[in-house]
This record gives sequence, C-alpha cells and structure tokens, in this order.
Amino acid sequence: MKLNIFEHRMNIGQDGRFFNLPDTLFPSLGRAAAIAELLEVACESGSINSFDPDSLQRASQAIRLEIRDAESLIDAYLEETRSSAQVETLAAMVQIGEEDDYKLAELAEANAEGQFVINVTNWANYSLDACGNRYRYTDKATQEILLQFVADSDDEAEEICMDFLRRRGMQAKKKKPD
Amino acid sequence: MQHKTNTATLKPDFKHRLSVLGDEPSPRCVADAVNNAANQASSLIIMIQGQFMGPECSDCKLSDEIIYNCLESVYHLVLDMKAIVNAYHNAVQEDSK
Repeated sequence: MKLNIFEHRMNIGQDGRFFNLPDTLFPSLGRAAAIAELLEVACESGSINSFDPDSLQRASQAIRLEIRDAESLIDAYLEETRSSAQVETLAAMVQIGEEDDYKLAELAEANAEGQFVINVTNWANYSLDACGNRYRYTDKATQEILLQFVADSDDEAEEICMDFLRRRGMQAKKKKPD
Repeated sequence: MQHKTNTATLKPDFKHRLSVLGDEPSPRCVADAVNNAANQASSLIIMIQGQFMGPECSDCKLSDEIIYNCLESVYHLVLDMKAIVNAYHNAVQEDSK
C-alpha cells in the first residue's frame, strides 16, 4: 500500500510543503501530550484498576504513535530543508562559474540528482550552444546555465539534454529543425 | 519557465500506522491496522467520556485545549481507518484490472 495515505497527518501548505518546524511538530506532540494528560487525570481521579487494561494499553499506544509521527515529520522536514539549501547552493555554483564553469556544472549535475525542476513546455525556450565539443544548455528567458557537458555531436548533445530533463520527470520535445 | 529551488517532495514515513504484520494490501494486514486504530480511538473516547461524568471536581477537569487535542487525535484515527480502507480498495481494484 502507498505510505502517503496518511497525508492528513501532515501540517503542510497548499503547495505541499511544510511551513516551519513548530507548525510541523507541535500538532503531533500536542496530541501526544493531551492523551498523556488524559491518562494521568484518569488515573488520579479513579483507581487504576477501574480501567480496562486494554484501554490503558491502547491509549499508551496512541501516545507512542503520535511521537513516532513527530519523528517521521521532523525527518521529512530536515530532508526538505537540506534539499532546498543544496539546490540553492548548486544553482549559485552554476551561475557564478565563469572561469571554470565546466567543472562546477559537472559537480552540480552530479549532486543535484532529482533536484532541478524546470517546467518545459517548449524546447525552443532553451538554447544549446557549442564551443568545440563543449555544450552549454541555457534558459533563454533568464540566461541561466542549466547544464554544461561534452558531446561528440549536436545530436548527442540534444540527447543528453533530453535525458537530463527526462530523468527529472519533465517533458522534453525534440528541437524542430529551423 | 521557472527554475524553482523548493522542489523536495514530502515523504514522511508513517509506516508505523500500518499493521505490524506488514504493509501489503491483504485482508489480514488491513484488518489488523484498522483494528489497532479503532481500539485506540475507542480507548480515547472512553477516557474522554470520563471527563464528563462523575462528581464535579475542578482538579480533575482537563482544559478545553487538552480535550480538543484528544478529540483531534480520535478524529485522525478515524481518518487513518478511512485512508487504510480506501488504499486497500484501490490496491485490490488495480490488481483485478
């Protein structure tokens, strides 16, 4: 079964991302604390023997699972935070890499697996420039360098670009001949 | 044309909410997962009910916030059951295609 069926347990924005650390964790921890307090007061106000042992066990289980939720959420939150920071760093590396940009872009490409998201609707929005066997794949609108690599031919370069997009789950159309 | 920087997908692992018998879409696992959630929910409701009966005692009364959070927990358990049953139903339908 898909494990994202428990989306209702995630406190996230409409764009599907977390807000901040307190908003991510406090709901689960608050529920765990409330159940613990309920148990505490129930045991204080009556005899512990007046409860069905099963009720106590299940309530304790509910607390444990709420805490596990919080643990999973903080793991996912940290992962998201780390990924975002990494992408920003890598994008900056590609942009500033004027002198030794090939090496920087290669590093970015190696580390940014699955991180770049580009809404590709038209191949013509990009330019693929060559200098010798080095190619540069640039966003025409922002002049941002998205990928630099070595290829033996223009066709191979186009394939590399399309593969770059495909591996990121994006649509890529082959360039139409001018 | 955008180059987004916040692209990470959220994947919290809520596997602990499924059955300890496994996460495959089998009647045994689904029954166990739903039973667990239902037992937790009913235990919480029994204890919440205790707040509204018996002698009035201000020391024993929990705040609205605590009661709210407890009810929220029960609500989430009901949503869990619904989600598990729906996921099982979808998985069985996909298998039968």
